[in-house]
Amino acid sequence: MSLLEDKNAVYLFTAYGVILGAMAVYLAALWLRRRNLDRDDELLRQIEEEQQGK
Amino acid sequence: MESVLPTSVSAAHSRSRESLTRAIGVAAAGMLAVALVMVFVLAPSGDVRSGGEAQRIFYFHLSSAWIGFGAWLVTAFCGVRYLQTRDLQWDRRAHASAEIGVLFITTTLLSGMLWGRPTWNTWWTWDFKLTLSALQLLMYLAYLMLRGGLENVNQRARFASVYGIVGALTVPLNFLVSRVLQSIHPAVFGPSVNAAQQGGFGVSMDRVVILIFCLVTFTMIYLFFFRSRVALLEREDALAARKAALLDAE
Repeated sequence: MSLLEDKNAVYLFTAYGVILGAMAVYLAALWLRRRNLDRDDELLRQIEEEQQGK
Repeated sequence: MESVLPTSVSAAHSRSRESLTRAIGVAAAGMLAVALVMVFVLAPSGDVRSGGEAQRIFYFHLSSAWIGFGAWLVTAFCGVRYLQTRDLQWDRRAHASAEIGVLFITTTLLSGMLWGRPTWNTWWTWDFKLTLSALQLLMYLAYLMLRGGLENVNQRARFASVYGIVGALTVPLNFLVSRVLQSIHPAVFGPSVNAAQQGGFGVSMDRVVILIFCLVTFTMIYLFFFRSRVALLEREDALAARKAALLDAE
């Protein structure tokens, strides 16, 4: 019997989907946090430059 | 203010660290692809008793558990080092490891449920090992909530360190439960006096090779996530210090 014909294959594919999906979500969360930090960094730099200019 | 800032790292050092993290990430992604091929193409099918094709869940389930529980030990180790040195870099490492632990304990529980349904004919049972694993997830979440609830950086690091060390005591307990007590969860490796286990299977050499590869792959993924998260925490702390300095200046 091939993998796809087994009645339990749906559990197998769901489990791997869950694990890979969770890792992808965490990776996306890391990317979003990094992007937000880049924005904060840029904003702070502008404020610091303005303060130094005063 | 000194302890809030990350230990001084030059821009060049920071860049080389980021390159290494990226290289680990690329290697981990490649290894993950190979691991999937090994699991779905090369691994032997399980018998009906161990879930048939669902038995292949075992490779990533055990690898997730390896990281989920291992991350607690890293959190505890970093907690000990923080208490010894009071260097906040150890606290950041403990925090990063706990966060990744939440991810992998969650996938361990979910993949275990998806294997349990066809094998034990139930999604969940209040077996000691399963309950303890669920409790560990809640403890991880409580650790992160504790951190979120404390404003003072040093107090937060101190409390979190102690909590992390105490929480790690559940890791060896979880390992022993299915070997020493009567538990439905099979003990695939090592000696066991557990006669109540269901769904166990013989671990042939080809299965061991695939499992070891999956364990190394997940360790690489952990390293990538860990280094990335620590770097972000360093930046968050550095930005917080700059914001505080700006507010002081006004």
